[in-house]
Amino acid sequence: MKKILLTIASLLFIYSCNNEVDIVNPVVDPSNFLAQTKPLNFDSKLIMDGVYEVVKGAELLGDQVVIKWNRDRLSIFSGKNGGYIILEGGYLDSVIFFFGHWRYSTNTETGAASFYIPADEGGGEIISGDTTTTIRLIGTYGFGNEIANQPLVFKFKREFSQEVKQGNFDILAHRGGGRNSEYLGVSENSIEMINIAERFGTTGVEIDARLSKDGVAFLYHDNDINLRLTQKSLIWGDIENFTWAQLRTLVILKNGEKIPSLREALEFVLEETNLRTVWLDTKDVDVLPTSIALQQEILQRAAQMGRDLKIYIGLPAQDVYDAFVAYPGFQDVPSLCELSLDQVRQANSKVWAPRWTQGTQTDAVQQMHAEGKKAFVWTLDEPSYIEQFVNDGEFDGILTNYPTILSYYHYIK
Amino acid sequence: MKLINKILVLVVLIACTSFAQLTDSTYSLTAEFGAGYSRYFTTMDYNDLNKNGFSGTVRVMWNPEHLLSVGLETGYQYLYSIDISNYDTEFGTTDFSASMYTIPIFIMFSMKVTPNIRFNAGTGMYLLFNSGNMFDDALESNQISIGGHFGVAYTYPINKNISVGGELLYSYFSKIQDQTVALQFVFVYKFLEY
Repeated sequence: MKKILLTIASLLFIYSCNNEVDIVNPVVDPSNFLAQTKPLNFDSKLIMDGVYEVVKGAELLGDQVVIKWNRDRLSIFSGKNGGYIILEGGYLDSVIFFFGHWRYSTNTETGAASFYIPADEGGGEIISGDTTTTIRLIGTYGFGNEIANQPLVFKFKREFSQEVKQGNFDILAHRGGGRNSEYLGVSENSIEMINIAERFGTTGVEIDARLSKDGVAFLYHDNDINLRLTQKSLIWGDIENFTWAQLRTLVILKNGEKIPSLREALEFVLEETNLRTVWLDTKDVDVLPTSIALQQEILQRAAQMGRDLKIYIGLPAQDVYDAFVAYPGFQDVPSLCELSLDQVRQANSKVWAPRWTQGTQTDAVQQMHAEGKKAFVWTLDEPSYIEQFVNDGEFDGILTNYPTILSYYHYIK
Repeated sequence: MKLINKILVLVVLIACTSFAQLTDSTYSLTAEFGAGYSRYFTTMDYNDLNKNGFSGTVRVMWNPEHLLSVGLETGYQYLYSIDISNYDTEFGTTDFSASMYTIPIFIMFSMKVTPNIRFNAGTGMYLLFNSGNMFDDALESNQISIGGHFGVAYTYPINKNISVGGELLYSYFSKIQDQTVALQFVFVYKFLEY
């Protein structure tokens, strides 16, 4: 009897659990001050990139941070709780202003942040494009929706090392930038997620391709419609049971976005971002021919645009691998193989991508390098392992759900 | 919903302690048939969503000498349907229909708290069946959800083997995180006694 009651009570408890988490969106630049400023040019942005000492505010971000412009945002990465700040900026007279928010990627703590660089603390030189090493960002931060009134000051410490600047290390963001469980406010495998991925330091994205009932390739991770990935909808069940029009019309992703087609995603990467790598994971063996055709088309367009873009067809499992090597001309299709080194060679894959739990595998990675291939490792989320793999490993890229943490450890190298 | 759950647990616990081990002299097997009205509760925001439908249950319960009975349940529960003409989408205008019903396969527990009142609780899996049409393409899909339901039933004996009554039944579907409340007429037939 006790067991039965315990079972019933447990079920009631489980059913009554609410796993929704309230995410605060801090109020940023409430007076829209940035609208009065002018945007910095590309050369000015490059001057700011580097490792900075935290003069005030170490309790928030630790002793040092990485500052790097990524497309249209200034990103600041720290080693404390995966803390980061994403800012929009512009200048007025000789002062540069920034407004944005900070967040810990390992929890949901967040708040507003704002900075300025005075004219005599590097602002003037940056605006005019002159190299300077006396940059000081003076600002404040707050918690939640509170006013940002805690002091935060960064002082330029050093440029990125030559190894970092000359290397071509890929910071690869899982599922387009991060999973839904990272509370980024946008859904995994969405155009909106790809759009913000670079703000986290990302240089490449991993996205998941599936095929609809009527043969349209689209981005979606799981094999069914479920509440982890989508809002409640009128259709449920295996996602391959539905046509593209049905999915696109009736299924809304967790944060309100529409499911993107693979074409839309790849065109967005090509035309709207500076991302240089796409890891196109194959979630459904039937999607391979469509993925390859789109890959070839987008790569051709990238070449015409003079754009350095790599798109790798992911070969995560034996069935996908078998279908791939049966594809005519597979040797010329850039692919990424997660299987054995021999299979990497057989498929003529450009990238070998082992699971992180197998360790840094330096010998195997060097072997791949000697054969002109790259090596990525997946999916590394634990900060201490990220640090270890960055410092001790020789991988050409790391796939993670926390690109901000990876960015920090990579850029301080 | 949490409050309802807590109250249900409390009532079951009190019932267990208050009526524990009141014995009947015989064992029996009963077939229980329920049919009635079901209302679907969801946060989906469609004006045209029909949430009212049929609910039916079939149970075979083993009633030992104790107050707690155990058995199996299946049945049918309507969840929703929708029918929209000239539905505007990015692919053009279409007629659209969709509906969902479910068949439970449950293990059931039933606790007699008075001679005529029982608390019922069951858990197991729901087979969810989704169908419809859009752009002249059939929507056909099904899947499995774990779930459970809790109910209170009042039955009145007509004779030695037959009772009739009613049951208020709350059901929860974990896969879609929605619920139904059903009000059913209940017919209980004792087909074996030993």
